[in-house]
Amino acid sequence: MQVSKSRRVFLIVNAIFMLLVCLAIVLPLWMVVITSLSSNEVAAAEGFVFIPKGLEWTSYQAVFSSSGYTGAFIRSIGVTVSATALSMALTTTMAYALAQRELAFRKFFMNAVLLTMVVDGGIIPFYMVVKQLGMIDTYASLIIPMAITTYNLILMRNFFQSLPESLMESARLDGCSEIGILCRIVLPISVPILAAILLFYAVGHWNRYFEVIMFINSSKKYTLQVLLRQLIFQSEGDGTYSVQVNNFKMAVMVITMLPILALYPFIQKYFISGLMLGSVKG
Amino acid sequence: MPGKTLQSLQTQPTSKWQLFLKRFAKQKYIFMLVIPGVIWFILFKYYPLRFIYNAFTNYGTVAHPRFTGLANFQRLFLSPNFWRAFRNTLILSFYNLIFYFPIPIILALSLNELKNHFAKKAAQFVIYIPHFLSWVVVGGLFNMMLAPSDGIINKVLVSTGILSEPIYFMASVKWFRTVLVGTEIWKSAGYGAVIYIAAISSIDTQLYDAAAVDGAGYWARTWHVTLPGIRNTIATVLLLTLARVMQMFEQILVMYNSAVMDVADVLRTFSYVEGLNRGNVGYATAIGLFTSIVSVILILGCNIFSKKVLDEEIL
Amino acid sequence: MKKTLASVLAVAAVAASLAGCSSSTSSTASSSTASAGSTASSQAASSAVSDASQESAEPAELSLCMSQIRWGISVDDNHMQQWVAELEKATNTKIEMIAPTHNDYMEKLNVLLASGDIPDIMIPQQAWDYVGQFAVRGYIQPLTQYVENDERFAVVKSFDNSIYQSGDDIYGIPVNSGNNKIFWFRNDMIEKYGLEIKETMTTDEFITELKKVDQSEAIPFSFPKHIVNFQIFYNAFGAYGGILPDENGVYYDGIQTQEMKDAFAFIKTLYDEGLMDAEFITNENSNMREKIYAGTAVSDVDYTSRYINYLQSASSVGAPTDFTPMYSLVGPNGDLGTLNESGNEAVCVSVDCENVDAAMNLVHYLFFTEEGRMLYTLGVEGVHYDIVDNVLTPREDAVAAGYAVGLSDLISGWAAVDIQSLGFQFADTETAQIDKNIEITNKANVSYVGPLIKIPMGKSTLYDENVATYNSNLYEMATKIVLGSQTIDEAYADYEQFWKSIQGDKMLEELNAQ
Repeated sequence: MQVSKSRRVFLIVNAIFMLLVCLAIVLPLWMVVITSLSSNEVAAAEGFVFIPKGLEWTSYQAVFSSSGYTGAFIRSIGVTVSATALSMALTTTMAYALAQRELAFRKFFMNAVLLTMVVDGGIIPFYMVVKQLGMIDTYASLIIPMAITTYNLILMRNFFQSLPESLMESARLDGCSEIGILCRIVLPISVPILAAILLFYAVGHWNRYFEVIMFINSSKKYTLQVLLRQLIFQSEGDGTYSVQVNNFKMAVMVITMLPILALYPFIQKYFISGLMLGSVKG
Repeated sequence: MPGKTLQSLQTQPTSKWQLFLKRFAKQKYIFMLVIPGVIWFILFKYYPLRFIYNAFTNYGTVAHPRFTGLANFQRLFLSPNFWRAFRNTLILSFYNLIFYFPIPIILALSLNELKNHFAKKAAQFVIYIPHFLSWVVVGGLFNMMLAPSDGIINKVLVSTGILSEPIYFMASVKWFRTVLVGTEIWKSAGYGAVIYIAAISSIDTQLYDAAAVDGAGYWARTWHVTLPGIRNTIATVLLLTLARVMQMFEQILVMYNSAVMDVADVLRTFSYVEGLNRGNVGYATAIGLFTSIVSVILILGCNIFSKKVLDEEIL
Repeated sequence: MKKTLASVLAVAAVAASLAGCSSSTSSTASSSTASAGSTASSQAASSAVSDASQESAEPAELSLCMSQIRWGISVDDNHMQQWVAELEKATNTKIEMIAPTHNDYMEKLNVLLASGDIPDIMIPQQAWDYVGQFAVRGYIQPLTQYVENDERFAVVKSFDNSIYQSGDDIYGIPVNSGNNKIFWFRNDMIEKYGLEIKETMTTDEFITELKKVDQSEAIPFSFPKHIVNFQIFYNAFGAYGGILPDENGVYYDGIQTQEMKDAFAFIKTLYDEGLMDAEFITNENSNMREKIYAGTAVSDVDYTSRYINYLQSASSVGAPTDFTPMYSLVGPNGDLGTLNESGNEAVCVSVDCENVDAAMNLVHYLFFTEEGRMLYTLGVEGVHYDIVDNVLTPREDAVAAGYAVGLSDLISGWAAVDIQSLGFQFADTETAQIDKNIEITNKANVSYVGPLIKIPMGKSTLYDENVATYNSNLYEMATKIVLGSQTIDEAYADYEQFWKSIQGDKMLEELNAQ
């Protein structure tokens, strides 16, 4: 394909635009990282540090020298993994069923699902349901009640719906069961969207904070996010607390972010062009 | 629990009921797939709605709550702070739709055009990081960067001559909404682009090849292949954004202060303060109910608009 | 589509109303049993106040909802478990600890209360507002007989318990003996700029001295975003940010007074002259403190009990200095006062509590005995700290999890802990410094206490409904005036509208009806 001049200009402008966007994002993040690596003196004087003045690992060492973080870290991973698995199972099956045009009361179900995005009872009735199910102060309360995010469900359902009907029809004619169609035909060609939704769920569960505070009573079940908030706000009270300058807070912050960030490259490789459809449509 | 669906089904005429049974027999496997989700929704989304009854009581403020009719709503509609929150909710929702909504699409399209494979992956990764900072941290970060005394943004704007003197963005009635929308874009746009990136990935490459054979340039391909390819996703996300836009909350709770309440207090923060800080549960539920009704009207309105103008239902 | 949506709505509405009816009947049922239970338990309590023979009994089961930050301080759950075990051992109880983080404490507590899971013992913040509310809402039970008749709590009589009163009963017991905020100055800055800081300063002197600071080098006076702290200025002008009784007991609006306008004008001057932190409205307490620790600010407003903490923090960020307290501004009419935050935290006991005596034993142990207070503020030996060569030394893993020696809580408690005869010393802290801190705290508590006015709940429905809005409106109004987005006159014109919208005159009538 010939590359025209205007095309080349466009590509360069586009690259510059993307570079600026990345800079706008990286600079503040740079400050977070540099602050976490600065000494108490520098961090206290500047709040957030932009130009590094002697970097050290002391904040990170301080974080890792406490067994509290390790425990919370493991709990966070456990909750995130199991909650994401349940989320994906429930969301995929329901989205697939709702995408089937012949499903009875499909519209009713869809509207009922949509309605939950805007009509919300608030935290207190939610708490009461969790309590009636006997889940208060259990890990189940962090997994089951938050299993489906309506937003993700609808995204996935609409994607399934955009798949060519003929695919499923021919599979049905071949005598494939619905589960079989879902697992053998639909899921393999939906890998990019599944990867995206998986990421959304994993991030959502990992970052969860408010519900943990509400549903969990005993400190031994707290997740990493709770510890993070705890540390960030520790110096707000009126008692005597250790000095928690920004460097320490940001170190905890970075440590909290890293595991879920590390997930991204694994997910990213599924966002490959032309993975699907091309081969089957013909 | 699935009793509710059954109950509503039984009200159908018998013929329809039989028809349903027939269809059900035919598609029981599809039904089995939908049932776990339906149970979950009834349990965690619909069952708690019974609590909305409390919007008509003085629950939370007295030892023995009783039915008070529309008293909560009367109090609500008389409160100047409520109308302020309502106005701010609408304005901020509108801003978010106009300014925030297109940005993830632009980012995804722009990323798609990066030809260097490594640069593409790196950029994708970078724009998505801010989502992992909690609002508490983002709030603190921008608070510092926007500070009039030594904030980097003010320094840059003043030294380049764009501003003659620093602006206290975080305390400025004129600027605070811009700050809210701007930080929302900074934090979430890259993350929001992920869904479009995924959608673009699943466009059939043969379509591009065909377009290239037809001699279509970049814009033509974007217009005729890429955008139609992700059109469904855009419509879905628009609808979902509409549904969520009234719910914005945590960002504001973390970032607002008493200098900017006039432009920043929204219905959710208003109800949060009433319900969870002050324990006026009935009153807070009434605010929540009002918010829900407005959201439903908003969505239905947009649906009608889309049907009339775009000839397509987004629902 | 609309039809189906309508049908969904209809089904939901029917279901909601059906369920709503049933839940309302069940909730009245449960609340009536709850009130029956409370009378029974209060009778039991009155008959057994002096009976303290708990030794041989089975451990009493209690749920204790205490902000995670308030005990043991370390966020490491192992440390917390051992702390709880220590408390259980000392009080012969079996404790279910509910430990939300400090900043979410009231939210969690409100959810627990509203959904009927009332913890046996709770410690609300801003207790002067919440204790009365909780009492009216039927969540907590009266503790009057403990306050008035129980020798163990006799020291509390010196405290103005009316702030925890509802009807004729007292519902809360303060955690600390006195808690005031005063002005703090860095000594190195005082020397550098030649400031004359006295125990009390007139408003004019305050401005004159602050003006000596080179504003390009340091912020003369830092302040937190919490506008409620403006009361420390109002005090000097004899103004009060709220509704209050005059000398004849007639309630009036403290905002609509000339004194208040003068106070606003004074704060505005501070701000306009660049003396007050230009960015105070976005300062968390921690931001303000970081500024004064690091020496980017010369002075601020903070608790009397934080003196030692200030010393230690300033040296830990590499800017060590001593600090000088300034207790009160003196206004044109000689009015003065600290910012009175006494009674910010109070202990309350649930109406559903099955063993009130055990609960009060625990309260007594933790807040009124030397041993308990030390557990509360210092943690557990061998877990949070070790005594090495007669010096209390925090353990490394505890420090990493946020632990610090709670000296300021130790000296502001009810139990008179004799720090000289503890048999050990505190690391990095000279005994003289502790003595000085105690002296400062006592001086503020005795000589300069500012007003703290609490109108009991139930006097006026309008007041109960609107007091929170009234307060937040005051904060916004003060902010607008100080930041200059409105003149005082404009702000007061708006205020007139606001006063009408909350039916202010009728509210005063209701308050003055008795």
